[in-house]
Amino acid sequence: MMRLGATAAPGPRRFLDFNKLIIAVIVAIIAIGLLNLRNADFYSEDSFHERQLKWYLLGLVVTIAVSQIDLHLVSRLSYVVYGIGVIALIAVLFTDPINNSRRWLPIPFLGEAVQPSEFVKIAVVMALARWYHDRGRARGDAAHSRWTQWLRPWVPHLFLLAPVILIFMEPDLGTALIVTLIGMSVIFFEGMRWRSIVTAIGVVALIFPLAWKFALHDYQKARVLVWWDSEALEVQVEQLREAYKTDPSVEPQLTRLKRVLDKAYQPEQAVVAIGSGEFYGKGGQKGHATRQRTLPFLHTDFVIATWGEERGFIGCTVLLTLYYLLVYWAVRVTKIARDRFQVLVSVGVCATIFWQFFVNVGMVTGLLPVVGVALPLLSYGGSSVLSICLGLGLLYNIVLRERATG
Amino acid sequence: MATRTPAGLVEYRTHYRWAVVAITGLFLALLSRFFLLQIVRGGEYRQDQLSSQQRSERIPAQRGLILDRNGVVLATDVETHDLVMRPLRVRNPERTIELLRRLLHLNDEDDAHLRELVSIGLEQKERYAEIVIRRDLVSHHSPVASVKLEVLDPPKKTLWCSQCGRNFDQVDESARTCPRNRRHKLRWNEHRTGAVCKNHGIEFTAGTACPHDGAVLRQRSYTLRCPETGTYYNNEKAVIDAHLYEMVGFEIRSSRRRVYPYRNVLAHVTGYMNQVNRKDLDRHGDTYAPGDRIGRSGTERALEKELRGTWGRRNYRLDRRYKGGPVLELPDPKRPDVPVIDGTTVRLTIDVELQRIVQKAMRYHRSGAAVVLDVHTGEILAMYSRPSFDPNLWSGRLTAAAYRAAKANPYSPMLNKALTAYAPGSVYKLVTAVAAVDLGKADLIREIQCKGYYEFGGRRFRCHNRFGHGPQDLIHAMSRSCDIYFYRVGEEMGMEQLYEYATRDFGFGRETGIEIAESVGVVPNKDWHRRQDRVWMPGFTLSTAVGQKDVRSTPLQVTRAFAGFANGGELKTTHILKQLEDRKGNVVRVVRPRVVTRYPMTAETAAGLGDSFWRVVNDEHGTAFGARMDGIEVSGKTGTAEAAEHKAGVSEDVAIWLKDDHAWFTGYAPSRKPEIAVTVFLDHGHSGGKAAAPVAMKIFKGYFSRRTSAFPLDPPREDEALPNPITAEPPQPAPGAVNKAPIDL
Repeated sequence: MMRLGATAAPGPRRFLDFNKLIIAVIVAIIAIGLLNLRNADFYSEDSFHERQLKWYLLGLVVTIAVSQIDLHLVSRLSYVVYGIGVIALIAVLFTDPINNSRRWLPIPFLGEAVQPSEFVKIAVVMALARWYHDRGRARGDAAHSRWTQWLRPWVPHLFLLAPVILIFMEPDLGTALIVTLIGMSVIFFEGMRWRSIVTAIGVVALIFPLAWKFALHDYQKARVLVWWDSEALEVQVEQLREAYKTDPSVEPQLTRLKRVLDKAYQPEQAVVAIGSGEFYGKGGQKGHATRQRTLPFLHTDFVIATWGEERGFIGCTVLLTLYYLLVYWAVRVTKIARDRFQVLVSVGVCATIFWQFFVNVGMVTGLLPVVGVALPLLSYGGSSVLSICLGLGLLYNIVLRERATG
Repeated sequence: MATRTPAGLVEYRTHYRWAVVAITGLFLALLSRFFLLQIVRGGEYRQDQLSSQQRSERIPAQRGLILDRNGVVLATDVETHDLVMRPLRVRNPERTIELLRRLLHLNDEDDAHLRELVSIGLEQKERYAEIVIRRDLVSHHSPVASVKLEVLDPPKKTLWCSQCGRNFDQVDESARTCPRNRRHKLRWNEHRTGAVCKNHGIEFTAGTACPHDGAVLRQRSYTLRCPETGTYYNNEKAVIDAHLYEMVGFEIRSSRRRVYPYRNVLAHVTGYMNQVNRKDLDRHGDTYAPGDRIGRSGTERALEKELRGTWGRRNYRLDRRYKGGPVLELPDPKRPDVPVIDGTTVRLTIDVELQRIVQKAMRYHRSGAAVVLDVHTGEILAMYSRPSFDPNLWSGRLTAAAYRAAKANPYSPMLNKALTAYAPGSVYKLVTAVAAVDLGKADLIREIQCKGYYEFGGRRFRCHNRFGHGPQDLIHAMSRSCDIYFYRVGEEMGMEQLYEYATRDFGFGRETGIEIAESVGVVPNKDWHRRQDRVWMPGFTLSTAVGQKDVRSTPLQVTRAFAGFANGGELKTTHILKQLEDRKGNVVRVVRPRVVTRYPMTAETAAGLGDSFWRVVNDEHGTAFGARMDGIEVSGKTGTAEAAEHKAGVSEDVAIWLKDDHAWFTGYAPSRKPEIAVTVFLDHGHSGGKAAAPVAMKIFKGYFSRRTSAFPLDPPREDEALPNPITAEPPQPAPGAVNKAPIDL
């Protein structure tokens, strides 16, 4: 029925087509990403920007490919994709740990490794969208027992919980958090009720102390503690150091606390680097953080520190605007989506970009505790770039179909 | 548009709005965060970052030399080497200690001390901490005297005790005299195992065990010897240097040490240096850093700024120059380096040979001071305070015991008595006499009867001659130091007039102009009594007229007043600084004395008083007649001031000494054509004429013998030949006063 309007007069022509503008926005973000990566590794032996360029090109291919697939096929494959994702997450738990966590799944014959957790974000979105899509279609059926009526609203939460727990076991707190945020965004967009909000808050309030006690690793706790109140920790270390002089038995306690305090170093250096950019920035390759390499993870999680230092407030404002346009466009796609699946997929992709951006920038600027979250498109990393490209491909798929149908 | 939105999806519209609001809000939160970090706090962070890569390093300036007037070095710097430990780098402390013990031949006590230092140091976990393990490693300079060590070839072999660290020479058991010098006798201990040379204190042993603790002696050889003390040394610095690679975490630090070659001869003049304390840092923390050394007394303190120079600073930043390059120290264009300006050389007016003569002349007295002044220029040729101290010790390794001993010494060795105010006694009569003549209360003819006491206000003020001098004119009253005469004229003049003359014309109670910190002393008047909250009584005038009661003046002030009299009545500023020179010897600044006042006296008065001062030494009734010397014509004035003190907790000997009078002698020579003025002050020295005057005579004699030997081409001319002081007539006899027979009961 939609195809009827294919040859009909196009709607009122806008001076600047938003959808085309977004292509320019994405190109701009990628250009900034390459330039920034080059400056970030300018004084080191590595050249991440060249490798990142390959990922971008691969990402382009993925985007175009995904935008051409029939969305019904995508919808039908949702549970399969979700299943593969969960299996990959289980498989990753049996690999050898790198830096004390198992995140990388090697791809045979290619020599590269992927992070299944990055792709699971999209898989979760697809599964949730599919489930709500199906439920919406079956809404008219009243043949449900009381038991099923009570249980049904919790099914999407289960879809979410399984990968979150698996990612948490890797352990990768950041991605687990991001997947939760994405999933909850989709669930909330589907139906915002006071009951669900209260439940969510209640669950967090219940889970957090338990997780703190049993599940969180020391370094994870340390990051939270440092973010919460690093000065109090310093005072505590001073007191322990005094006590150590008379009582050597406090030594393990002291070393543990010192390790915690060392974690404060990185976020603080990032804040100083960004702040020292001031209004205009210091200019390319003139940043202290990059020259001295005082900041680890310069090319991945903390990549925006280089940008902030070199380009200042102006550069950061430009970057924020670009991302805002991208996210705003993504949420606007929900308005032109034709069915529930498409709406929720676009919401999910929008949430994927938005939450990763917000949490990453928040942690680098010291608003949030340090959890390992990549900056979409800007951070170096194949899995991250490809998963975002996958999402963008889905969005363009929706937009192009709408276009085609006029 | 509505047609394009399926009816079933309308429910998302509010959700869409909420989502846009939430996204916009959170983006604005991030933007405001950037605004806070980059605009509000940006400058702060940039400053933080800049200072984190900026470094700077101080470059010490060479401290200036102190020279005497002839260019003899009185204070200089020598390089010293300390062994330091960097605790965090130390790998094997136990082995290093063992190695040090072997290399430095430490005895048990030194070894225990070293172990303690190292273990204390190892607790120090500061990253850059440096602990000095052993100071002043011997290399080329003697650690105790400022001479170079002489190299022994072949090395000296001795027997060495590892327990007490003493060295012994082998000697035959039957020997009675020192093997080195047959005239020196040996003192054997009761077991006849060890002996000591009575003259040089060299220890000998007859067996193979230490005579003190019985430990087995070991062979040891030395390659260096101090020519002054005769102690043997090895080049510790070279030995440790050669083994440093085995001592991880240990380093040798070179620094400079101040050395005073004349030791205690000039201690109070040169002063000494030590480390800055908290107070110094508070006062000028920008020029000094903890661990720096600062002049503590004497010239070192007074001319600290000139001697220290300006320390330089090398400013740089740490950065890379190119991709992947090492972190380098690069110049910082925003903070230029501060150049070093070495300290200036200070040339003093002191003649160190004369100073030695003064020291020698003073050696039989416990406590006191002597000042020699050039009459014409006001330059201080010698200034000595006894007892003295060794500034090398105070500038270097001062042990707690030495410090306690100096503090407990009742004769105050650290005090420069030449610049400390004491009751002047009769030497102050110069002021009273000149004032009295100027005010018309006395002239050269007026006589006053001395009965041995003077009644005033119902009290008897005694003369030092209890039987009385009889009728006296000014000249005889002065030469015999009759107090009654001065009581009388003092009473007639009054306190305020005395004060006026003393401070205005003679410089008492005023600064003399010397560069070193001095006491200004006290000249009392009614106003002073009021300020001190003391009751003023008319009788004080009498005591003041003869320099007693509350009058206090420094030996330098007294010398200056008499030098002024000797040069014809010009009171000049006195100086110890002759000139400042740069490193190449170019004169930077010359100190020129300034005439402060002219004494209010006529040529006639000057001649009369000059006659009286001549008589003090050369008249057989003069108070210093017993001290006169053939060949030198000296004029002067004695002083004996009552200064009994009581102090708790001193030995009986010291308590008796404290009760005695202060002894003064001040004079100038030659009488006809004065060159120098000398003051000898002996703290509780009993009598000016008997104790102080002979010392002054020795100084005069030393000065003139040095002068004639220093200028052999300029012998005294025939017509100026010195008269025989016994038979000679006074130079300018005052009419009617000369031949009066002194009354002697």
